[in-house]
Amino acid sequence: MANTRERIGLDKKTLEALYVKLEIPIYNVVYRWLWDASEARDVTQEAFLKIWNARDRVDLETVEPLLYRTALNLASNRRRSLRLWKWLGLDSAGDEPVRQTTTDDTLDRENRRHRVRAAIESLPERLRQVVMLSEYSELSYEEIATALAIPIGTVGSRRSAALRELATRLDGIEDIDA
Amino acid sequence: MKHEDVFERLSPPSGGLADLRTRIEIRPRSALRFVPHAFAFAVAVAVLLMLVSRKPPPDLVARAEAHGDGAEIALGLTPTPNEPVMLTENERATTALTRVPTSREDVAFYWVGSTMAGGVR
Repeated sequence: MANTRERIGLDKKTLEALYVKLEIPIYNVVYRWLWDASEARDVTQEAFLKIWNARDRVDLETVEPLLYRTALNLASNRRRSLRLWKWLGLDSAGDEPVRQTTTDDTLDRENRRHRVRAAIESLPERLRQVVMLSEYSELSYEEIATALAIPIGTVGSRRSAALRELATRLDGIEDIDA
Repeated sequence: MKHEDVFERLSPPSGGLADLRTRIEIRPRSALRFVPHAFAFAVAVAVLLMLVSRKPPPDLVARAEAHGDGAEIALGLTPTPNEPVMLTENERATTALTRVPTSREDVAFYWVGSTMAGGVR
């Protein structure tokens, strides 16, 4: 009982340690929803702020899946509102600035990024969530299942389906363990 | 395509932790967060109450009927009397009555000359 109580509650030092550990993976996950560096970082920080506001009730055992889940929800909501603003013609977020392409290498990289983005965008959200968490986070299948509130078996099947879909659209992916 | 190209690891903009610290510091406490909403709600309720409790416009006809004054004539509720002040048969021998014209329809001035006190009605 005492151990359970000790796990509940988050202090500032722990939050900052979590941020240092999870900023990059969470940023990479939400970036695949927003496709905008500034928005992706804002949503990443917003997820940590939400957890901080609920710090008295946070279970440290499951805080990492909770952070990913919060970030995914926020990213999904932000994506919807950005699309709405864009549709209304009031916002251009989500459109990465046009880069000056001076070399063939740069051009190739940009083309590759466009293809990857299109392939990821084509994935249904339920598949995208699983494949992004399995690729960028260090969460186990069990933790991904906790984060997404789905059975563990579904994590594996959705990941395989997502990778197959991506491989089809990108003419195969090397070193994939689907 | 290579795996690392599909799942490229991007670096977030720098200064993330410092920015997070700032946002934690300036973020209003949860209770205070609702103050602007509560204020807006209070203003909306006040405006609503003002609209609901506004007095209806005065009923001029009812007021004119109650007072029975010149407004009644102005509203057309009562025809203008031909001659509101008249002498009785007995008074005519001792009293003279002359109406003095005024610019207002609801006001009548009379010049009364009498050889007896209180001879005018």
